[in-house]
Amino acid sequence: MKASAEIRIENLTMAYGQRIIQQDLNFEIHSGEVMAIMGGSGCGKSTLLRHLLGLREPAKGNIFFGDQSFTDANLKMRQSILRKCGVLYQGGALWSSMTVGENVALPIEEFTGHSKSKIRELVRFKLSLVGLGGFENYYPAEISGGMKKRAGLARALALDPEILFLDEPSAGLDPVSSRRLDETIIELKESLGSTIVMVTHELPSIFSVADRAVFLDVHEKRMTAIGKPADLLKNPPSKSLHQFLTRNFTEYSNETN
Amino acid sequence: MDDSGKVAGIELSMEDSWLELRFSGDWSIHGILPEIAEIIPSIELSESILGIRPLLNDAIEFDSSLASFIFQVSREANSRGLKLDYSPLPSNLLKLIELGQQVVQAGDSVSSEVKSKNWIEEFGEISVRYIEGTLEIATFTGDWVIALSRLLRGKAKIRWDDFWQIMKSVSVDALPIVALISFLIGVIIAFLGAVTLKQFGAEFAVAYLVGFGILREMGAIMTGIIMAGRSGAAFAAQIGSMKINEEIDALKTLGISPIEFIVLPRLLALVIMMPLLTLFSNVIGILSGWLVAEGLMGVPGPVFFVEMQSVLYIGDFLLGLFKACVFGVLVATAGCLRGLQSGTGADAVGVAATRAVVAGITLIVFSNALIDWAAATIGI
Repeated sequence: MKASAEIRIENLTMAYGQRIIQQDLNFEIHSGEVMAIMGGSGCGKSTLLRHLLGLREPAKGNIFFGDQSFTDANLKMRQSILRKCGVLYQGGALWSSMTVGENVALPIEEFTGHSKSKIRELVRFKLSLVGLGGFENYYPAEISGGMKKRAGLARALALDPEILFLDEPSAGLDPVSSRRLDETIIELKESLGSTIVMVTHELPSIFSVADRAVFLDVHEKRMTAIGKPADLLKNPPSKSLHQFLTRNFTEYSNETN
Repeated sequence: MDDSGKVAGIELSMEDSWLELRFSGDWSIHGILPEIAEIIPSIELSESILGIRPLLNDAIEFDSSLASFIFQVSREANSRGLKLDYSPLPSNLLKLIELGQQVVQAGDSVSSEVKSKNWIEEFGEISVRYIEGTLEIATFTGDWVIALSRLLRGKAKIRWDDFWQIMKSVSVDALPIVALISFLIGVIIAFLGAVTLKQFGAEFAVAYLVGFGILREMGAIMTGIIMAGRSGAAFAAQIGSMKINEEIDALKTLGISPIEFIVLPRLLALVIMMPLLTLFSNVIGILSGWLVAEGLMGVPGPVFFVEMQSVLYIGDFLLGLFKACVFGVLVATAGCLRGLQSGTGADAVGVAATRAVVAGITLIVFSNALIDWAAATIGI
């Protein structure tokens, strides 16, 4: 399988006008790992994702994909980098006037020269990977929320991305559907070897899927922890992280066991 | 098939009654990938094979596109009762093939089954939809009549703040466009008169044409059409958006009637303002007709208005205002109903607005014909 890329964030500050969301973010996402970006509501998780996708410009700092600066790249270079990425948006973001199959086919039609029959074959397989084989001809309005998410994931996988971005993949899903989606993500990671960046505040997903997690503190407006979820739970370096991971507002001790 | 460079390649060979498919080259999504149909003849020609065994060359590059192709091979093999030997394949590729073979997950629900229909079924479905649509209109009309009666008895939950906002939007904000269209309509009617009446030396009769045409017909019709395009579409879009945001459901769960809360203010606003807008339209239209009559045909102002007055009577004027009231009800009904019928997709609001305009204009033209026929029968 082809090698997957790494992402490096250097001194990144995100702001809406004068309002700072997060500042001086510095961390790396390693090739082939699942990195969870976690934090409370309003901490800037989705804003960080939008910066990584070039949908927002940083107030300060830089984002690198491998050795290539994404922030300083021109439009053509950025598009070339993003073509190696797949994105699952929070609500699936399926195009409602197209069938599920057409949704998955569009990136393949746009960026490859495959025949219609080949594209049909690939679409069928991509949908089978997420357990939606046979649903090619259904419209988004005709399928459930969980199925829309999985269809969105199939579309994100259409071009076999080196990096997969997942924005709140479990949002709005029941516990069983959420667990199924987590298992699908794990299986895809093991088989495709893609780097996965997952924005989430769902603790079960963080602990079951993520190799490492970075915590964005909404009050301090900076990154206060990075590491394996189990390690962060055992030794949380801050009270807010402890509260986030344990949902416990009273007990906190930063002494190691 | 080419086995060199970046092109995806397959080499077929037989080994102990097994058909071996050796994959090489670039089997990624951006490569040049063969179709399954290219190897099916080889599978069919190979007699008495036990099964198919896929193998990979050392230098191969691949992603899920290779898994997809092998998945297709497995379907062909299964349909011919052939075995498959995946043992030479790497674990990550095997995992992808297994994922692709998973059955539809239990509990996956869909709102309708997609199946092909013949023309009789299609015609039947369209007819049923049409009848159901007509019943919906009747039900909706009944609902707002009930809501109106509750309002008159002081029992309806109507937001008067919303009502005044909507009144402003359908009246003051509409004046410029109504003025422009009415002016142009008056000019057009007067030109029509100028062309035809000049031949008979009856230029003065342009006053009859402008008077009748505007007061009985065009004043109300054009105002109605403008309001259908402007306010009817806006109502449908507003209510459609509220439906998507579940605001209507929130009202229902609180026991508040969406008809009283949302439809009634809009209906009242249009019914009250349409006659006033039509009156405004009538004045602008007649004035513009006079300008053309005097400027182009030399009919002096006093002559124009005296002639007009001599053929018109109060019934013509009141008929136009009555039509305006009716058109107001129809445009509000069409706009609000299409909004409530809106779907939930991204294009649903646009579709609802379009349907509201089409329904409003159709109802205006249809009802105008009915009213004219009734008026002629009565002798108005």
